[in-house]
Amino acid sequence: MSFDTDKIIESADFAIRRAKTAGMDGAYVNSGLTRAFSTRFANSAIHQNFMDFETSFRITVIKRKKRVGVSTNSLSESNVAWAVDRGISIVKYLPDDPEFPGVLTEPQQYQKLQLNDPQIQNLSPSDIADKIVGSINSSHEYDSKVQSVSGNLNLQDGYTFFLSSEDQEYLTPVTGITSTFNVAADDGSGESRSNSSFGGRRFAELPCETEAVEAAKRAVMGLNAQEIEAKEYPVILDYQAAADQLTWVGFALSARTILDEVSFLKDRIGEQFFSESLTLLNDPHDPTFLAARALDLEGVASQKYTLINKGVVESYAYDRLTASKMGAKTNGCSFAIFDESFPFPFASKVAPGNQKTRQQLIEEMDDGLLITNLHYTNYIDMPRGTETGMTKDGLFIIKNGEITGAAKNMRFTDSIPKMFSTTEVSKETLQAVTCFGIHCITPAIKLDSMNFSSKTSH
Amino acid sequence: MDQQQVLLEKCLAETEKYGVRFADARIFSTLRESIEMRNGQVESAGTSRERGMNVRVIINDAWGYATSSRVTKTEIGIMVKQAIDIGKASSLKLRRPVVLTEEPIIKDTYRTPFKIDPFEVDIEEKIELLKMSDSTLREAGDQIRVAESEFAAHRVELTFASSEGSMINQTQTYVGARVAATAVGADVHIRSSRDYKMKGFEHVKEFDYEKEARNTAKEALILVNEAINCPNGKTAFILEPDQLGLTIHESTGHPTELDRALGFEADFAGTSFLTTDKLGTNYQYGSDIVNLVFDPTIPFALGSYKYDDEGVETKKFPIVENGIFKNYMTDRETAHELGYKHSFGNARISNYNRIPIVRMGNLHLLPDPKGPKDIDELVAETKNGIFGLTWKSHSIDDKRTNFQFSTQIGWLIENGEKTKPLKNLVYNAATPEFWGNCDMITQETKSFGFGPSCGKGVPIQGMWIEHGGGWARFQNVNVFAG
Repeated sequence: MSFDTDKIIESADFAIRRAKTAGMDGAYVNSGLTRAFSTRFANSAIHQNFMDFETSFRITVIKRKKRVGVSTNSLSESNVAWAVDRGISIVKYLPDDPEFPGVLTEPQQYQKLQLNDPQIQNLSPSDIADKIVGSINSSHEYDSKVQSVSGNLNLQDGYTFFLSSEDQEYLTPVTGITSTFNVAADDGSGESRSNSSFGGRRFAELPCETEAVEAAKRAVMGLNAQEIEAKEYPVILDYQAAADQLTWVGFALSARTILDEVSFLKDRIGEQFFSESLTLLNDPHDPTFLAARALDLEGVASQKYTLINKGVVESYAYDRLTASKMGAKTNGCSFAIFDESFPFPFASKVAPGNQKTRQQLIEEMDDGLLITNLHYTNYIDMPRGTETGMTKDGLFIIKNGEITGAAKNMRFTDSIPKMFSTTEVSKETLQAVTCFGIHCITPAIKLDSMNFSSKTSH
Repeated sequence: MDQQQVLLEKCLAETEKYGVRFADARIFSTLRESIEMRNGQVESAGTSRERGMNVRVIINDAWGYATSSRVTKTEIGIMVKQAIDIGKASSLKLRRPVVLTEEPIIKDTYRTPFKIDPFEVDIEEKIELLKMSDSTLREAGDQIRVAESEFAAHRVELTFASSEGSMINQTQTYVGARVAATAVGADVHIRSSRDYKMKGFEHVKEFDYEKEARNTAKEALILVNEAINCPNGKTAFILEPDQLGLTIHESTGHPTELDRALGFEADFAGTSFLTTDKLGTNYQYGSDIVNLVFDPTIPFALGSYKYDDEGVETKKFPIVENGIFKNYMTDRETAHELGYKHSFGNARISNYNRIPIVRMGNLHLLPDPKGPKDIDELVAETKNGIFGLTWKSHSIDDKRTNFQFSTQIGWLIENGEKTKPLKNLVYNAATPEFWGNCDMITQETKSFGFGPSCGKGVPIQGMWIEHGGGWARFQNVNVFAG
């Protein structure tokens, strides 16, 4: 499928000229054209499958110390004109926010990033189905105890575009693919499930089959899970579980939650708050990282910077408004989840350790747990960093340096500051995908103690 | 026939060329507006208007589905071809042929009623309401560090047509209001209040921002200055209808979605402890006073709709009756798979570019006609216990048995009276045990619109829901300070 990129450029240019003519101080447009394939499978069969063609267009108009954003999904001239006029009609009634920095006038230098898969143009629905079917079959072939395979594969390919009244312009092709394989095994003693979520930019290289088999191995290994006591255990958070936890740390590093007084990291800059082994970067310039982007939603050039340096909180994530309110400089972290924009370290990457492999972390553990996946984690009280959540489809018992079996799922209730005060990180890193569509590159992380507060029967 | 119906007819005619067994198509339009004021500043103000279409076919016994933001005659041919290709690809790995329940053919137009169109009200009037709310929140005291006041309006128009002959146009208008206060003392606490309804701007006026802001700020200050930590242990526990609604949503609603029980959500949200072998076996879900009803016919409730997005007319039906598990929520495919003659009409889409899946709408705990009249009588009949109010945090396992929720505020009940305010209240329970320990429900009821806050599916879809019922008491609930 070809994309009419001339049309989005033309529409954005028209919108900005219209806003300026109407007396706005400035305006910027975020726009995109996307072709998406979304396939879900369950009980080892495809049950949802669709293809979508999407246009997005959002204009933000700025007048003095205030702004309004209006979105639409049609690039017809009348529709774009409606969006501009609607923004103008609203902005005049808003009170000025003295701390809003107004139009972005500083020239931005955007990194040139190759973010697309050029081979994907001719991809057909049957190519995707073939890849999924092959992976499902491989999972079943691994062991006859594999009962069913569930999962999804979501592929987006297209263009993103930014244009501002200050002549900042950026057009780039982008491909992103995420997938999950969830395998259920059963030997008559009860069901065991294992999960693998992963992503990449190149369809041909997406390791569906490998991950489906890995998930099958873990599902079989999880059979005959024991019920163990709910108490404190040393744990190893495997990649996916570690990414889940770091997402919550990411929310606490957002200048929005700092300003809202709800972050446990408020007033912690310069403090040794986490374990010395923990270094967290925001790295949006690694093109293999699904989070990579050259600019944020406000048109600010994205930056690689350190959030946590050897356990010391070094920086928060800012957008222009929160940076202005906190007397800081934006670091290009304007991000959106469910259409709501706020500053977030969207390209979180944990620096790998230089000593031990993931396997060595396991071998050095006398009595603990390996957690491959977490589910429905949530802050109980964000100002103190207390949190709860479940293990799901991957809780294993480690005894004397070996995985000796699986445990039935448990609930943890603990504090992030406490859990991450004593950590070790492995040498290898992996790109994980969390449930908010947030991507994180992380090693496996060993926590000296994680408190499990209740049990389940599965 | 209007323009949308003409396009849908053309779309269905196009599918016939490929020899499909079934087809349906939709044109879906949304209009949204939201304003968020924080500490006197409008930090977020925006509008969006979107329109798109989709087509779903059964070909080679499999589903094919395609969607597009380009609602044009030219695009129809492209979109239908894509749906056909997708259906053929899906048939490469098919568990069983897709079969749907037989449903009546419907031709109807339906609009939810409202008095004042929220999109016609001046922005100035909305901002004035938020300003008044904001100043009320902040005037309550210096310890109120963050004052939030919000307004939201949303309109959805969906025109649906099927190869069976249905043609339905349904328009729904929702509005919502919210206030929240963050108070800082020795610790930090947020108290909030919100309500959404399927009404017009009149609901925003009825919400009474000033009163809600005053009460919200007052209780935020109580939390930081007077409240004690929730005690640890097992206790009699009372939930008001808002927090009860969350508990219903997570522990009753999701496990009774048939797609979950059949394993279709295993990769993301999970499955259900209410496996299909439990249906029709008098499975004891709760105590005999527990009656949980799905009712999409409640006027102005946020989860009301006349037809689902497969064109099935909805109706009220029991999920749990006298403590016994009675029914799942279904779409046409899952209903047929389980042997239901008809779907209960729970297939919904959140936008044109999403696929219909089984969703909740209005799900309520019915009052007990023999129970205490109201919360005052219920508290008086409780010698010692705890009363919890308003969502703060929630988490539940993938089969929906082990849940742990926390409330913004609680009250200690001693000798039949509310005494001390409680903070950091967390309760943890197992679903059937929790509902089995429900021993009192008031006659008085209240219902809360939660907003588009139920997330399900991949790609995720937000859905409008409303829950509530009577104030309910549960025995032996594990509570602690979290």
